[in-house]
Amino acid sequence: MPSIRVPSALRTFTGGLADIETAATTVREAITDLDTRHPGIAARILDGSGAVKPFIRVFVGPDDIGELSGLDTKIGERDEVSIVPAIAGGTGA
Amino acid sequence: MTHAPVRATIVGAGGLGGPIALSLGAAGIELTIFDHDVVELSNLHRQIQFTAADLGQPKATRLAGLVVSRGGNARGVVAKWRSPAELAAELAGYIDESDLIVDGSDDPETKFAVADWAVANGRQYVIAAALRYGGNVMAGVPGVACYRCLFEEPTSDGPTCADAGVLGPVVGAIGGAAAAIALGLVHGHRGLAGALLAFDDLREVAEPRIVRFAPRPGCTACLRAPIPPFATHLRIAGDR
Repeated sequence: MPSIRVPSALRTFTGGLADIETAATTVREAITDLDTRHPGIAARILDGSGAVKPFIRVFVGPDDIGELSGLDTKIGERDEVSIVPAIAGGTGA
Repeated sequence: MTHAPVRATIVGAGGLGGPIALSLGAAGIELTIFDHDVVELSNLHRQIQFTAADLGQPKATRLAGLVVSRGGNARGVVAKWRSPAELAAELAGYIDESDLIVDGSDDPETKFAVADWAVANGRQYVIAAALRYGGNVMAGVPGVACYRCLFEEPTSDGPTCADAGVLGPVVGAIGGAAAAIALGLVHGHRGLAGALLAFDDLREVAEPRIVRFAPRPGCTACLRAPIPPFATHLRIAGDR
């Protein structure tokens, strides 16, 4: 079953879970499924038009979905969808 | 026969900038360290280059002094930038002293400003960021996809240390990785240029996930680059 790797910064939405299995067959379905189970997380990944926010990249394995079929990229049984946000930090806070 | 010293600019003298500066300084690289903050008590648990004796002092000069005390060559610049344009203007004064620029700042706009400046001036660069239990490191060289190709634009909507925090030792690990990659670039190792190393949770897995990305059509930084990015990019051998 495919899995979604939730970045550390967004695990407040998943109760700390890092890897979440999904029955989805595309990246879009995977994010929808993730949001159904962990409401609010999709709004941190997608903008109001449903596109991936500019400061977030989504990969299937090592491949950027922007080079594939975007959110319609198909995912297979053994694929891992990674959500990688731009982050800052290290001196402040 | 002698070689000209390698010179690097480091932006940020805090949790990330500390290990970056100490590592590069110990490796013989001449450093210019930019920061605009002073040392505060709340910094000490993760900015372990500082002690209580440094409280209230400018981070840039205190860190530079520490590098020098260990035999390195560094100077601190107490910079005043309040915007990317102001930072670019300040960096312009040091362009001849920067074979390489490394960002260890804590805000997205500064990271984009550093990367844009490096791309526009044909410099190698490393962008490091830490948050919660992990972080990201990206290496850039002229001719490959840049930081703005990757993340397009800064945002105030992304996670920050203020809402997610950062584990003290994480900045040391991410800063160390950034320094190692920077040294690699200095010595001609460009295998990670144009790649992002994503350290997800250092409490569990120390190995980063390495992802590569292509130049983004219309990237405003690459349009100003003296060497534009190639249309294709290399994948790591063994990937998928």
